[in-house]
Amino acid sequence: MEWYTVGLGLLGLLMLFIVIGLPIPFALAGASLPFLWQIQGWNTSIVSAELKLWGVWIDYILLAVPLFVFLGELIGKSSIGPNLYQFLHQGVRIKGSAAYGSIGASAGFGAVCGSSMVGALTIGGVALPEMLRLGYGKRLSSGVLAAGGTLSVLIPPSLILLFYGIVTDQSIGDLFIAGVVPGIILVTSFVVVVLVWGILKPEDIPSREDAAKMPMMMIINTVGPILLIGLVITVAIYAGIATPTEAAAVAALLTVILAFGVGGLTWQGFKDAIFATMRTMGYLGLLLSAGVLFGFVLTYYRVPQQFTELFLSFDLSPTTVLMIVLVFYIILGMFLEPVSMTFITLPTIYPLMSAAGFDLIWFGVVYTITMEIAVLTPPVGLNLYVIQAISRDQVSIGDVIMGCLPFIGMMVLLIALLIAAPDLALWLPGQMQ
Amino acid sequence: MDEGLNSLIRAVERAVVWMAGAGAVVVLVQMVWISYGVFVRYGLGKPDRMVTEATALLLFPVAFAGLAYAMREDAYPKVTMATDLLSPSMRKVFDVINHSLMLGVGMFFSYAGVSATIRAFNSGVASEILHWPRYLFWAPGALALVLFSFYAALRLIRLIRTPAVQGDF
Repeated sequence: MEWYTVGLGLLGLLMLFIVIGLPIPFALAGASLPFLWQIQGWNTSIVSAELKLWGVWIDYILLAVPLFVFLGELIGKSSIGPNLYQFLHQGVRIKGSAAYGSIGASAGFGAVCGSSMVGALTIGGVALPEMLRLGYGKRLSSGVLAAGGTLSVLIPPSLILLFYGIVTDQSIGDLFIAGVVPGIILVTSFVVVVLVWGILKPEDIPSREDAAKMPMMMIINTVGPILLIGLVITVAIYAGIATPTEAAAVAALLTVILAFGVGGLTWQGFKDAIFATMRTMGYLGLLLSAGVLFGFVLTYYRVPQQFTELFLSFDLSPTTVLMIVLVFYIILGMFLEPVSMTFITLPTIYPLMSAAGFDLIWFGVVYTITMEIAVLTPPVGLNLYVIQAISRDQVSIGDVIMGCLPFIGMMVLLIALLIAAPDLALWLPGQMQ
Repeated sequence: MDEGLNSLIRAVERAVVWMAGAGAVVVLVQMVWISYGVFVRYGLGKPDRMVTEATALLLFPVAFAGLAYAMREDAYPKVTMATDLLSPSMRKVFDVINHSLMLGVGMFFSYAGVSATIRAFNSGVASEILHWPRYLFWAPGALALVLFSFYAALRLIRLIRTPAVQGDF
């Protein structure tokens, strides 16, 4: 079979399965298996599957995945995340403090958790009802929280950067550190959005907030754990003291202790957190296994290489190639969630980006920002539904979508900044080396 | 008959939760063991030579222990925009197709898992550093995959026997 027949056949079958509502890990496997059997027959394909499964899962780096997921779930089930929001809201007494507090809490949460949805759910769960009660506009409240959740994806540790590193064989540590400066820029730009929003629509931000002052002991109990867990992860990885997996394990253990000690975690909350981890691993396990079979079929027919050659034969400029890829991801992101997109598309796209002359660490950061946009774009924008579900009676999905638009604009602007000045992502990893 | 099927599904779901629980315990063991490894490396100056390979081997069962549990919790990512527009009877048709495909994929991986366990047991193949028998890690993974396939088959039977308006997927 020709490579384009296989490429189109795989893609067509995959799209068909996804459209009829087959869960994505099964769609990926279901699309790959007929081609695998065509290549190898039944018996050899069984042996191939065995080897691929063993090869992909006996990987020390991958061990960071359940540990980071567990860490995020623990923070979500304890009061550490909500308290951080309360601190940033009540501790900083300026106009719009609840909105700025939401951004700060989302960023702080992002520094210890790598999942966008957990971030939006944890901070949004406490901040959205509070903001609506204080009289903040529905669109501003829901937009800032849905967009704030995405900060978890860019600010390390990030599960998307981790998966990106695994698929493209790039250093996880370098990817994490490359996300720091763009993450800080994004946080700052979100603050600017709220500031400008307040000027353009002053009625959306109350002039007085009747929030009680937080006692000093509670401030220490709130900020201390986040700082400590964040420091353990960042210092351990960036100083070369520990691998990302070791940093994840130590940080997860520390989080267990802190969540029980000062975060009000109950035994039931602990059980919920570990079972939520297994629930996530349940689909990630099959998704990654199916992704490996999918990648094998693609590689066997040299689809990524041929696709790259075909693309480059049009003599497009690297910027044009990048624009096409970004538009592709933004459109695809309207229908697929980021982890699935990573395993389905990256094996074909990253050789193209490398051949077009882009640094894969830099592209990892740009890719991650497009994934942030993906969780905010309908019809399949996970964060939109998470935030709307928190205050279903008061906020419509239209409010959340409209509220997110300025923040999506800032993400697009950040991508433009990264294209104009790639060192925004690459300077810090270079300094560390 | 239906009551028998439902009670069988409930019994299997208990096994599904226990399987996820076993995987959860392994994650906790990995967390503690790796942290201990970091502590002895820096605190005592004696690196634990087992930790890297042992915890990596333990990841294999964890990868599949939650598969059936994720199905029970309806946690798989999927796109239902198109099927949501269909009538209940058509939606049921697609639910049956989807369950059948999930069962087919599950059976393929289950067969691969069981086959690998038997092959690893017969050949005596072991891990590179610790020389731990590979079948010990394949077996729980294969068990989780077989449990998933069995659970998916039971849910498929229940789905076929349930009237369209009461479809459970």
